[in-house]
Amino acid sequence: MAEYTLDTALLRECLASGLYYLPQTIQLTLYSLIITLFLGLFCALAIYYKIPALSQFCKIFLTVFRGTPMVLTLLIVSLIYSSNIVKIIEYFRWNITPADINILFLGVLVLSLSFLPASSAAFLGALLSIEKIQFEAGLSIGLTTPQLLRTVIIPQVIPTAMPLLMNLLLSGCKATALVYTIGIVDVMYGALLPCAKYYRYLEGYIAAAIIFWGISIVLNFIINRVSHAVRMEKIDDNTSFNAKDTRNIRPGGRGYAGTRTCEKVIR
Amino acid sequence: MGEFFSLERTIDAFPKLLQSLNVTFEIVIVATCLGLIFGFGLAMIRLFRLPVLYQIASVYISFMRGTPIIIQLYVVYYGLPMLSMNLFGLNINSWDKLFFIITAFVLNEIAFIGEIIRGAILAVPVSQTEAGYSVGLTGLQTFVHIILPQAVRAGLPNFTVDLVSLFQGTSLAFLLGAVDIIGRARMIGTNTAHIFDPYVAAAVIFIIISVLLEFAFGKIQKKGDVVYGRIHS
Repeated sequence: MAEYTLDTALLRECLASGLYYLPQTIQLTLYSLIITLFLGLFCALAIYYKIPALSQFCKIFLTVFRGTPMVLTLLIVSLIYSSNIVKIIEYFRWNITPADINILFLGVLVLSLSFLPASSAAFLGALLSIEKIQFEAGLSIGLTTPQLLRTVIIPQVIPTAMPLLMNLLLSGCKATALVYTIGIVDVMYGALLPCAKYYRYLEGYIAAAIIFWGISIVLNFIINRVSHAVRMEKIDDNTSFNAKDTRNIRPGGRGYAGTRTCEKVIR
Repeated sequence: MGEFFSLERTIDAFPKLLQSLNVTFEIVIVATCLGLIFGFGLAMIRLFRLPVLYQIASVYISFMRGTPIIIQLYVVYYGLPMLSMNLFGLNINSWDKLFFIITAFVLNEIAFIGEIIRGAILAVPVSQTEAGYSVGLTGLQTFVHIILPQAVRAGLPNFTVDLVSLFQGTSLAFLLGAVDIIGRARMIGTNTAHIFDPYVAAAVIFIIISVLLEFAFGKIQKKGDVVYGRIHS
């Protein structure tokens, strides 16, 4: 029964093919993570300062993307793209065809939107855990709000939000496996390429699983090192962080209580 | 083809999509229940560091948390028939697709819930166990009466997040050909040549149910906090 055994040669071929496309997956993850960090910080600040209209808009926006499964966002965005791109090109009289456009940007767009609830929740939780005194201290020496944010608040927000952002990196990397459904070439796509020849797909998926497992083990190692370093720094720096603060950022901790439901895990 | 989006068609799609909601709920409920039962076992293995089993459980959890659910779905879908053929000589190729989908989600959920339970039990201070022993309770009594009620409340927020993400994760089932909400939306799309509207309707259903789930569990959490007091300090 040849059909019921694993073809190791094919598995190796799939692994090689999948690894060949690893840079694409890393690109996708990094680009969308960077975009989502800026957008997430922006949303968190808008909600924290209760800016009229903008904060309500951000809340609705976050609820929508928290509630929609990523694959559905992907389907909807790619549908909007494919049925309107020709019109857009004609409207602007660009000298290109739809085939010339790198579809990677669609994946980055959808991924960064899907990560947004998690990243803004991380930032908002960190903002809420900063004591009021810090803001007052900054204002009392005559800093403007942008200066205050840049020099006092954000340097404290980033280490506090770090554990959650690191989790986002991990789950975000896994989430990129989905974008192959709209035809973006990544590890998943690459691992499945050799399978089409033989019409055996199990090997391709196992190869993809091995690659993603490897990535997550490496990322986990890095995350542990980084969070250890951050914790060490916090213990050294007694003035702004003490043991209480590090406890508060844990989901379920007090500093986190208001934003706990903003989390979203993408599998 | 007419206009791209029409509110009328979107509203028309709702009743049809809601018919498929039971498939989604079936996956969620079976995966959560079995995940709780076996996840508890997994958490116990990890907590008591049972030799050999501990290593196996660690590798299992690492794999389940380290790989995307989409790959796990396909590996179960293509791999389980091969495994059962080799082990039992049983051909399960023709079994219902939903069986493979549910199996994959159960396997995934065991790892995730197992870690949540472990974290929840670890969140209860050791002094609580000592207090239980000091008044003469046995190990089991201490666990049932002292540790478990506190652990449930400690784990509830994470469990809620997990449940919502599982609910949204079931949307991947359509990739294997199951007729869940998105699968149904695609069917409507092929029948009426308008795929955008049922997608929007599906997104609205997902958003509403996610918000409701979070709201309901938030209420339960709050109630627990009011009755027993917050346990995080």
